[in-house]
Amino acid sequence: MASEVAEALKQIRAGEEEARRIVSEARERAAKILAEAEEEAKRMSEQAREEERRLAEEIFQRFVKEGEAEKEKIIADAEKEARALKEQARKNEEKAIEAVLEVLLGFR
Amino acid sequence: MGVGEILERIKEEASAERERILREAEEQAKEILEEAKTSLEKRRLAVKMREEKRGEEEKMRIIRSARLEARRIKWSAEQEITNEVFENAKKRIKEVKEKGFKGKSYREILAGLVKEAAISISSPLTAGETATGETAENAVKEGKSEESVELEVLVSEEDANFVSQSLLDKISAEISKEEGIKIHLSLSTERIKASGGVIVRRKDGKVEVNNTFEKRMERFMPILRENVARILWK
Repeated sequence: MASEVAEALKQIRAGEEEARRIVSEARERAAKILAEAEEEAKRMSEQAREEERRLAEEIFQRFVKEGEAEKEKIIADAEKEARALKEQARKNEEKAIEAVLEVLLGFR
Repeated sequence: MGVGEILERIKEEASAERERILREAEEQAKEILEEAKTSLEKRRLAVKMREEKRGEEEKMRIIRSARLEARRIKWSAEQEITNEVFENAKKRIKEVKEKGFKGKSYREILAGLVKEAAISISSPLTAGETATGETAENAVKEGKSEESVELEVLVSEEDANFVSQSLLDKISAEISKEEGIKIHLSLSTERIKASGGVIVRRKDGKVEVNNTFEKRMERFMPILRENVARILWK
């Protein structure tokens, strides 16, 4: 009878030991799952940094390109206007020279 | 309860605990990844907003700079033509000496410049600055207005041929008649370096009016520029 009880206790202890092992392994696995998740989050963040750098450059360059296009138009318009100013002035240049001479020569 | 049942119970409890631990870990891992995604989305949005603002500022800087450059281009064109007008006017002076201008000979033009300068020096109402700071008005106050004001006319070597004593006498007579001022003009032997025009000065050298073309150009430049611009782009 005593030996049967001892055997039963032995089996129960073994069962408890097995239970602790199962729980312990589960905790180890859980820690690994969390570590992997943290690692994945970190990897995602690093990968995103590179994408953010590209996005930043892309957005900035898009505005620069728009600015440069506007600049070209402004300069082209100004050059056109400058040519028109010169053309208009050339028509009246003789009158202007005469006006200068009138003052230099004491006509007025 | 038999040993078999106890063992089965222990095993079941351990399994349940393992499932709970793993389930919680999976849930936490999922949360970690969700939070990471949310955070990244926020970061991306912040980057987008920051770069759009920076880009817009850069775009505006480029446009402002272009507008300045555009103004410079137009201003430069205006200056080019305006300067051309002054340069051509200077070149035209040689032609004026040969052919005259607007029906007047160069001799008559010089006479006009002498007359204008002489009146300016001699008139008590016109206070011309002297080299020493004395004015023509003071000169007259000194009691010399009763006497004939002695003035000399300085011209360039080239223009000396256009000015004779008889011309200066005629001008003196005209001034006396028109302004009631007695003056005597004589041609100085001193020659000046100028493209044309005259300098008229009191014989004591205290008062002079520089009516050379260079000085007139300098004196009237602000108004000339205004007039030229108005004529060129009216």
